[in-house]
Amino acid sequence: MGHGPAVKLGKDNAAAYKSKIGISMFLVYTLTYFGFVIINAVSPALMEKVYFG
Amino acid sequence: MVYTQSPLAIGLFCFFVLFVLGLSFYLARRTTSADSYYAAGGNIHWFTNGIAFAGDYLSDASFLGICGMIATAGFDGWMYSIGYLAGWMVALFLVAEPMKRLGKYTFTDALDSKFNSKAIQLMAAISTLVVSVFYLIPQMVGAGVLVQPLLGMPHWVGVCIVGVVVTIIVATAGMASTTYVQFFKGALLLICSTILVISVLTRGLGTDPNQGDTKEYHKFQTLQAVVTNGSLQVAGYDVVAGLDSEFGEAGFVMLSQNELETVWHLKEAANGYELVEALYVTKMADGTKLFNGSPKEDGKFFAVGHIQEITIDGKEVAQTGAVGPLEFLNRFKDSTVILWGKKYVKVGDSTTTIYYQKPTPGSRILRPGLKFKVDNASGLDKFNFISLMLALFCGTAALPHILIRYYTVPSQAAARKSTIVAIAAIGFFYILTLYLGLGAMTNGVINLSDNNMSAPLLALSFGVVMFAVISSLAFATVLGTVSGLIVASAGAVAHDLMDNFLGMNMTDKGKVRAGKISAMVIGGIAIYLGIIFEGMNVSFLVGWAFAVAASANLPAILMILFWKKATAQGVAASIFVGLTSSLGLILVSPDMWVRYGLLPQDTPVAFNSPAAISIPASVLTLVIISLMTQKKGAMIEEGAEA
Repeated sequence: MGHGPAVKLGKDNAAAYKSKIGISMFLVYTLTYFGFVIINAVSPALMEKVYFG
Repeated sequence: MVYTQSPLAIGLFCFFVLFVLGLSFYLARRTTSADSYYAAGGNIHWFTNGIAFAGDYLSDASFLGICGMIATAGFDGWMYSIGYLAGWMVALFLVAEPMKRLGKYTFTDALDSKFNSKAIQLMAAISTLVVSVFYLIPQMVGAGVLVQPLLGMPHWVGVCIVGVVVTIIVATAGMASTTYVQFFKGALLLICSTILVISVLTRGLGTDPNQGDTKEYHKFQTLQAVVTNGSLQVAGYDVVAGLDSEFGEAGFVMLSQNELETVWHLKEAANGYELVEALYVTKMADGTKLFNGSPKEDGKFFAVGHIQEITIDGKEVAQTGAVGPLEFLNRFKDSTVILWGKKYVKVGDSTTTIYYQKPTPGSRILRPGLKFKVDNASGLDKFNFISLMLALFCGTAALPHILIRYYTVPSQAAARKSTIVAIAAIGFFYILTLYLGLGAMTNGVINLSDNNMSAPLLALSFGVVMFAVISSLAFATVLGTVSGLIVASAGAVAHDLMDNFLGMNMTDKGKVRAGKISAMVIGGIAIYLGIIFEGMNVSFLVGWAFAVAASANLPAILMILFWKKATAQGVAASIFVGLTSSLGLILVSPDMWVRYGLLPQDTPVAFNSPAAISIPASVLTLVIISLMTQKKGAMIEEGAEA
């Protein structure tokens, strides 16, 4: 079948831990992104306001 | 708009082509195994790979399409930049390391790593080809658009040049030459775009975009008109199409002076009407086009883009002088910019596209709503916008030509680090696109009939050298992205379909030969598609590629990585449903209806972006089919492990 990496990879003992952190960060990031998109879609005038400027 | 060719631009263009071809032939001598052809031997440094990611990803849709959209629609054009960048975090958090761990040459390898399923091999290969073709079309169209101002050749010649050069790049050294072409292109794109943005900021904002006193900007006029006995009277002009004509019904009139016909936007005034000069393109029944009543070569279709009024601390000024990046946005926000609306008037067999002036506050341009219908919009309009942003978010981590770059680095850590480099480089570039777009909007360089050339024409306003560099770079951009797409497609055909799905059991040399032949065939198809799709907006089609990738590929990738109950049947079915539902919805969308010559309101679906329907449909299919085939799936998995 020819699957598997093109180069030999060492064992990654932290793979499960990194995967868990990745999922947590992804969830936080996704919520932030869609919060931004929803503001643009529902209340575009809010994007005109200047903060910290 | 008529372009002039510069020998320097042609020289740089030829130098870059010869450089990449020389590099490809040099690397070809070392490319003898399948590993080196499809994955560059897996020995590319993470930093090189990160910049090559940027070179692969920052296509002409980003460079030309987004700059053009920002130049005409402001913040809404930049929303594409935001969406394109946002998806990279998905790749970093979830996809980068597992993709490196599970796959070998293609993204199908990673999907199929647990199952050895013919159905997955077939569906993932088809999905790769469909996504790559969608992505290829705008790149090839962009090549034709670029060669016109650069070499003065017709569209099809540009498409053929790119097709042939890229096919040679891929057919000689595969992923090795592709990686270095993308690396050089990515690095040059960042450096040259930064220089162009610094030039824009140094020039600052002004109400007379005379391009540093080098070119006079057309003074758009306003006339007064009165109505006598029901007909319009304008001093010094004959009325060709008045208030009761098709033009009048659309809010315009056509006047004639010295045998030159011009179109004017009607605005009611106290003593009749105020007429504001507009631009127009007439497409005759035989397909010929007249630009402001004359052939294109006459140069009557003026470049546009100017500020009507700049206010600093309550006072009107003509020039801001050099400004910093934040001050540029602040000054822009307090200005009034002339944007251009578009209307169609049909008279007999000819159609006239009228571009009319729309004075718009800068603050309005720096928020959404000029392109996307989000102000006082229906639920469907908002749904369409959210669906597009979802497709951009989910699409990046599912583009096959991006995912295969993970196989070129030596370790999972290198895969992650190269993603971080890519995010930094791509994010920085997208910030630059905002300044390039707004710079084009205010420097009198926009060709309204084709806004894709806004960035190179902005460069031209700073001199021929800058134009030559940026145009050559835009051409290099096409080479970098198209070579990545052809490597991905060739891998899908030779590795996924021929070697794995059809079980041809090729030798190592046979795999390389199959990849090279596939690359040549796909290069030929790319040339054909680039020619027949002439005239379509570059970035718009990339949106389709993202929608299909997000719908067909991402659910399968994520569920395989994070849901243990996923089965081969479920994965294959979800790719099929994601692919067909997104494609089907695109083909019956209002945008496509217009291209079929039908009215957009007659379409069976009222939105253009299918992701919000097709992604959930794909996920749902995977879950249901996987749960229905648990026993069989578990057996397959056990078999694969044994």
